[in-house]
Amino acid sequence: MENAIKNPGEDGVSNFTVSFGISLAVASVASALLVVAKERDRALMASMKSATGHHWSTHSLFALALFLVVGFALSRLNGGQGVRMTAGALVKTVVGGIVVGSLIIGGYYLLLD
Amino acid sequence: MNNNVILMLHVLFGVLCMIGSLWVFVDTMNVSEGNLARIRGVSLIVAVAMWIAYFIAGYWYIVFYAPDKAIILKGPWPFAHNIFMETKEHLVMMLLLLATYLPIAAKGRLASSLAARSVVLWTSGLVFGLALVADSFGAIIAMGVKVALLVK
Repeated sequence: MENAIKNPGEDGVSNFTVSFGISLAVASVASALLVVAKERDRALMASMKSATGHHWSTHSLFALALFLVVGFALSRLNGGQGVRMTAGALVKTVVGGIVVGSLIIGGYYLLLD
Repeated sequence: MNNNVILMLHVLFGVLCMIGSLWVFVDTMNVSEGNLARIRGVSLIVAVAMWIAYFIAGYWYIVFYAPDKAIILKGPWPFAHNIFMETKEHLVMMLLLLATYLPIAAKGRLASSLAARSVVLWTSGLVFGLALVADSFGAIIAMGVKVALLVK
């Protein structure tokens, strides 16, 4: 017996799947933008180093916290039903977020750094 | 623990994550009520393996990488650090989130819903692709150290 978590939609995609899929895309792009920001801004890099002892640790915590906070926040919308989105749009959002994030990071170190 | 053992454990769990994601992809292509529990179980293993690989890699990167970095930058392949390591250490953050998301997506009605299946197929496919990129970049970084030591 299948047991989809929390409010499975008519297309079989659950509230959490949609909410955390969107948050995955948001966190990926935001994390990539933070890469550019910290490499460009020495004060930001220094503050990230001092926060946990290493900029990479702080960056990891930022990405993870954003993923969890945005995911849970989106799942609470519409009276706990979460965001309504078709599976096709969700896939485009997830793939788009990963591709854009990867291009920002790879492009920055390949072309601009 | 020897730092080379730590590094190899990182690769081991990274490869486990990669193979697991391929397993989830293929199993989802042939999903039925019979293999649903296995898909969800392996999805969870992918996430756990990635978390372990990430913690080990983070520890090694913060504690042991600095001497290797110095060797690479003085050698003929400085791009092994400047491009490949810098890119890899940030790409794997997305890989960690993707691997964490996989068991969430695998909770959908995979056997009866094409939409739910497509989310899992794309997610597991992305995990596999990014893990393969990370693994390849790791090989280039290791070669960066090797060629630097060879010319000494």
